Amino acid sequence: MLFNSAVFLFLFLPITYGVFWALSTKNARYIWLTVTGYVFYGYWNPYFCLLMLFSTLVSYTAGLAFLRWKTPRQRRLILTLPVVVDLTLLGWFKYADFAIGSWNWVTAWGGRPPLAPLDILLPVGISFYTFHTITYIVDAYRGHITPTRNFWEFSCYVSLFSQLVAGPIVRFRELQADLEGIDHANRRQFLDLGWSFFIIGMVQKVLVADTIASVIDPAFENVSALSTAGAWLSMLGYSYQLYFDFAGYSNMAVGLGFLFGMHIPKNFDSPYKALNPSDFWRRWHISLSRVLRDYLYIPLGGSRGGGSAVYLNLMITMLLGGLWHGASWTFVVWGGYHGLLLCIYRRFGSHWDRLPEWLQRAGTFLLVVVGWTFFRAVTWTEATELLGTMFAPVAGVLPIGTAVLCAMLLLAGGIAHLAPNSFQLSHRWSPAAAVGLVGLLVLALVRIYGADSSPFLYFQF
Amino acid sequence: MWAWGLGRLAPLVLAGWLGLDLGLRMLPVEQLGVSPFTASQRYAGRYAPFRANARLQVSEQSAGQNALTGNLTPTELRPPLRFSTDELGYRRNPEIPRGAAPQVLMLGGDSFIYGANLSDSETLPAALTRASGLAVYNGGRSHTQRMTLKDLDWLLDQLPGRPTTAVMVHLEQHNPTPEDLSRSSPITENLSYVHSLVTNWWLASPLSNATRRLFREFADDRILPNTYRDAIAEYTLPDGRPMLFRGSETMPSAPGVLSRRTPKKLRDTAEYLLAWRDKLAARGLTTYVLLMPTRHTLYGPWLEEGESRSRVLQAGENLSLLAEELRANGVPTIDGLTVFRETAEQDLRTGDLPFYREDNHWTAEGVERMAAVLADTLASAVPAATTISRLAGDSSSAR
Repeated sequence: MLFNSAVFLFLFLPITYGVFWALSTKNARYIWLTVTGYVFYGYWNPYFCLLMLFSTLVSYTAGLAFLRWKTPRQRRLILTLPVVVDLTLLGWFKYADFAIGSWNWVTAWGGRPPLAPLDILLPVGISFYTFHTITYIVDAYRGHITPTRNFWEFSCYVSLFSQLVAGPIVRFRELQADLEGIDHANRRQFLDLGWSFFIIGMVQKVLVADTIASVIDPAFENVSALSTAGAWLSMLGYSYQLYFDFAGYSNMAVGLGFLFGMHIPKNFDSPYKALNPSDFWRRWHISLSRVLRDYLYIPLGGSRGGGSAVYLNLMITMLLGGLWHGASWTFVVWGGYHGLLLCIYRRFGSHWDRLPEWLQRAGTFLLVVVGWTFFRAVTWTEATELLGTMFAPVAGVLPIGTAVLCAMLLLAGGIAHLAPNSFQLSHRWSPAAAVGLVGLLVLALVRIYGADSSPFLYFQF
Repeated sequence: MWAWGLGRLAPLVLAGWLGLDLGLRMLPVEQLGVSPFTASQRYAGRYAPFRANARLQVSEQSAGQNALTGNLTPTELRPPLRFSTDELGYRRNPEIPRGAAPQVLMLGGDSFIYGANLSDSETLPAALTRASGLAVYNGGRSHTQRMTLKDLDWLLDQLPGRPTTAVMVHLEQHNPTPEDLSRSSPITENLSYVHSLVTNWWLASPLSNATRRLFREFADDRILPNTYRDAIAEYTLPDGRPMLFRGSETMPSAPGVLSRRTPKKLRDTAEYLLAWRDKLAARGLTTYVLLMPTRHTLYGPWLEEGESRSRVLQAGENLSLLAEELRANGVPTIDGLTVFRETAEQDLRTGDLPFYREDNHWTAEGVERMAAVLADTLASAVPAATTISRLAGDSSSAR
């Protein structure tokens, strides 16, 4: 189910909200949120609910085991087994066909017959809830959290609909206090704030990102026809589409969290205002960056020791981070590209930091836009063709709807580069501003009714 | 904070929007851009495809569905039409008097049989009645609510007399759905009925129609790209005008799909139709099968080239094999491809087609042509003494 769909807005949300606040006990609310989470998830494909349930049961059992068994050997076993199970599920559903394709590509040189792809359907959001459960297990192992004995509390955390399929990747410890006090939540306390976040997110997604997408998606279908200007306009459009799409989803998730008395953490902090690659990753998809840092980069050795080990750790982290986004070599290259940027910045950052601030921001944004070509392209050939068109002037066409695209780029660019982000706003709207916001909500409804609801880009990850 | 903050304003706006949507649904939705077929599927009875005793008149000329789907300027407008149903909730055949016992039951065939884009008197059952003098009952249903065995039994119980002949229409693009022939539990049936009620009601939204139309105005390849066009395959006929096909029409000869239409798949389809034949025979009906090709399979040999043309020819061949398989099993089968392909090349040259150019359905002329062939086939099978011309009552009074 999509946040930007009539069935969510007019059926799922009112019922979920109304019943949630009508219930008073902790367990009743946990159960209700669990049930609604499964309905939300199962609306797409009910069979994959079993997968989420299995992952939940495995991690919950591991949590109980941590409470019971204390020796280091036992704890290592409790850590390893469920993480392997979770990663195996993720690997099977997300990467099996990728592995077969890669194997076929390699063995084709030796003339071996290709293996048949398994055509496995990727369960939406599996990357996100797998990370939810893995971080829970690792945090329990490290003693950062005390695992819950309440199954419903844990299942509510895993299947919480607001952050289920596209994040943010909320760690149990970030939500634990809200979950523990769920029966004392005050419905009115964050009502205005929640709707404010939700409407801003909806406008970002439906009016900004989807409008840009309606111009650039057809353009990307025929990359070879684009002129240099067309390729740059399309890539700039994609950069803003991706940001407003994902930040819009995150804002809606935060807003929905507030409506149910929960604090979903910030996932974006004006990433296109970043001064350097390192700063960019502190601002873009913050919840993922933190997970990669705490559960991969630091265990690998992090910045300890210095020298080439740090560069290796950075590259491994970013390559795997790229692969997390999708089962394709273009994502791996994208991750590697950012790893390289981070390494270069680490080595030569002192020179970069002496540049004027506006130049640092512009330079960082340009590097990020170039990186998005690998992220957007379906194949390696398409990525190189796009980059070739961008950097070697060629004649060709502009995207149809360039006037609309330019207007949207100005608007989106103005907001992304100059305006405060949703967490910097006070959300204390004057009556006129509030009416303006709901006016935008009405426009979003017109679009939701008038065009088919488009899924969020990060759903595919 | 302002007393009327977003916490109250936003839910109010959402409620207002929902109220507007629901309110508009209470009006005669066929006058607000919703097709009469969609409109009359609301409040359909438990075993019926449409609302009983519906009388809908659409006075505006309307564009073909494929032109609408592709957001293309229509070059062909369909005449105004009248849509009415009988007391059972099936499309009315105005050529037979009310209360007359039907001799022939026509079923399957989806919109081709209930008659999308055609007036009551232009549907195949009505044309067949005129051509043969037989009382033909229109058992056509939408593809979203195919006829099940339970629906059939209910219909046969309700009809004033039991027909002796059934014409089962099978569309080329359809896969066999054996579950239609199995009995489901009452719980499943109830859930399915509630689901169809809700779905049919939800689909008939004037507000959604209006906003979609508004949105498509902008997707004109000037302001925004017309991405809807991707759903449609466009060909130019010798007269310079377009012919538009939707995915379901080009699908039977699509590379992936065609390669799956193996002999086993054809046998499965034949077995499915033979199973229907057996069920109908157990109820006293003799079955005839009419196989209907898609327009693309029909006209493709003159529109496509190279590999695509080979695939289209193969799709046509598959349909012929299916017809042979059915005949070999004793089922009289009319191959629609043979009927229409005789003149297909000439149709394309003159532009005078038995099908709409911008809609996947047949025109009244196409229906008449098929009715004549069907009438010839049925002439020897159904006793002449019981034809409509000898029935009591004046058929014109029922129109």
